[in-house]
Amino acid sequence: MKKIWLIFKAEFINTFTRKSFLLTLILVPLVPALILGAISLFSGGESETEAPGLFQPPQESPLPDGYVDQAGIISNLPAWVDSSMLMPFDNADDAKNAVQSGEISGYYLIPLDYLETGSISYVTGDYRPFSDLEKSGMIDVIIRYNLLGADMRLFEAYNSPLRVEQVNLAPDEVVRDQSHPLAFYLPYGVTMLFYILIMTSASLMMNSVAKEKENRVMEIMMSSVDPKQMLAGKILGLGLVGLIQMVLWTGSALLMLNLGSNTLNIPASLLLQSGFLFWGIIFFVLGYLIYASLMAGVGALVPNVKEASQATFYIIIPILIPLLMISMIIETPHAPLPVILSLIPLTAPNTIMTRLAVGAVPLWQLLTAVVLMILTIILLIRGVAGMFRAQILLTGQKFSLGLFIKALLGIETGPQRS
Amino acid sequence: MAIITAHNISKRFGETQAVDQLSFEVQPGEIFGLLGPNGAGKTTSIRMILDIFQPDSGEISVLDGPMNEEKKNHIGYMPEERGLYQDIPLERCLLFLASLKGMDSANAKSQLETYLRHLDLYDVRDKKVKELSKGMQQKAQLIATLIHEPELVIIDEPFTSLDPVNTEIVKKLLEQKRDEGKAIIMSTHQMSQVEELCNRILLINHGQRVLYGTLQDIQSQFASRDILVTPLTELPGVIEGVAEVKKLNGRYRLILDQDAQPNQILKNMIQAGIEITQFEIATPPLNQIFIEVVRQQERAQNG
Repeated sequence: MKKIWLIFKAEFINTFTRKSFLLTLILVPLVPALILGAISLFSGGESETEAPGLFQPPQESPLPDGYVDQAGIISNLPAWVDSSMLMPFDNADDAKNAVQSGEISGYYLIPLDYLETGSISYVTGDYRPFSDLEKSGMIDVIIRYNLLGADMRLFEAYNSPLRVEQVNLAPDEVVRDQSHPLAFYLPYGVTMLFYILIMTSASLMMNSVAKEKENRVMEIMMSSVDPKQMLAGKILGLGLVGLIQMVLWTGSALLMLNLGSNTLNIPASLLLQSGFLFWGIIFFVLGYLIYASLMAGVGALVPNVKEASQATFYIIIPILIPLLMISMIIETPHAPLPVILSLIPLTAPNTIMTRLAVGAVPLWQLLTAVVLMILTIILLIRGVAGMFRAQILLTGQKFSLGLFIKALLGIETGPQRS
Repeated sequence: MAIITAHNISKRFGETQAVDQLSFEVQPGEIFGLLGPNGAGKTTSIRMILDIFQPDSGEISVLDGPMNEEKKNHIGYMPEERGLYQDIPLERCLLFLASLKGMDSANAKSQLETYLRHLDLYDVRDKKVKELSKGMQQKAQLIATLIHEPELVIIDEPFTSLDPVNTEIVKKLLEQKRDEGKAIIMSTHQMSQVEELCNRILLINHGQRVLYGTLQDIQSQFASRDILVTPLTELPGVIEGVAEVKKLNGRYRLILDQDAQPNQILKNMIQAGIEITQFEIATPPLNQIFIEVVRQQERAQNG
């Protein structure tokens, strides 16, 4: 048992003293933090300022318009219309004079028979198609407003007569504004982060084993330690490294989201639920154990780090599936496929974290996933521990999926000459 | 009491019989040469001693009984394929390997300093292992093998990549360990080192025991009855009891009559007034014995 602790300690220290690892550990959360800081600095805390649209017409000289209301429709201008930009005229002649003198750029004539014909005219000195379109939109709104008796409440109700509130039967579901860009990017970010976390930690494992084979330390290790203790020490040591990385990254991501919710104006319903970090840690640990054991198996089988990296491709396919289906999982998190993916141990960690980022996941699914994953981990670690024996560790074979599965199942394989 | 007793051990890998009914003993206070051509089964035998492989049949007793985890702390092993963690400082690497042998950290540190100074590695202890030369890495490997004062030392080719100065230092170190009563198994192809260091040898081929015993016994088994003489002056053409005199490079090889004894020849030469500076019975070099025995076995197998 003491030797498990020694290997645990060595793996932990060796990883944490590697410059490349430390840099990644710090830079990954630091870069988005700096970007966020820069955004809030430059926007001066004001986030409502709208960026100019790409197709906005060129700014006109700020000449106001006028209107002649022969039909007596406009009794009141809505509060949001700048009254200095729309001047009333008693008759068409005055308005015409004002246009000619350059006092206004044009005027609307609402004829006496407007209610019958529904047509008004805009009189201007020159032809400006874009600004005219925009202007007729504005007078249109003003006429509607007045037709509704200049009643702001009526006008609002008329403009958006119904607001459909989505009520999901799933428990604790918070209704999300699907149109907000973060509704997609937040779960997407969470999934990517989780993918990176599990894969980096599991790859550390594979590297550690494959490096010992490549550096030929394996045989010395085997004359000092039982290979199963070696495996246990590695899984625990690198697991702790991964966990620290996970808590640091996820924690700073959550912190940034909360700090940034003001800066970036994120609606509260889009923020991560409480308990997210709790389940995050659980599914990270379980996901790590599954993938780290698989990676340890790969490392044990192949002769060197290069061959091991090539073999990684096969191992990451299951964890990529939720990533490829991410739009579907985000849009319909409770559809059958996301639920099934949540229960399959190899795809569960990522799928569940994506769904948790979207909203709540029923407790039974969380617990079933946890139980299934634990069972898988027990089987996997048994299989990999079986691979941690001299005849595999002291030889090296080209990776193939079939060979790997056979070795996991404990079927004797390949060249076994010492 | 023997440190290792192997009794009729065998190991087969697929079609290959790597070790075949092999028996031998290793005693404390000896350097035991484990010899054999490539692929003879030396490494497999060593791995069976270390419990890295289990024999298919036969029994091995190490340090008085079957191997267990605790006993691994009393064994030092330097495999043929050298290996150290390349990316970490030398000192940390060696302290870790020492800790795996059950050494507490204070003891390991003080021992390590002694060894590092002795093998002239003290100044590079903070360097990463990969920055060290091959010879330095080999010396570091030797430290990892010896630092925990093992009762049994098993080393495979200890002198490759060492210059003559370091070879001498390592030889002295091994002799010192032997004199302290440790058992040392040395596997090597350098027969001159075996002649210099080993008390007993085991020569295996195709996993079987071919030669086994003290170096002297084996050499005298293969000794011819020739005598090598270095005289001060030319030798006379005829010496009593000598059938033929062959002139070598400054020396002579005397081939004796059927029933002549070397002692008698020496007496005869002195009586004949021949001044000699060297008189020895020609023992064949181990190298020659090795080649002869292996060839004989190949012929027997093929024939």
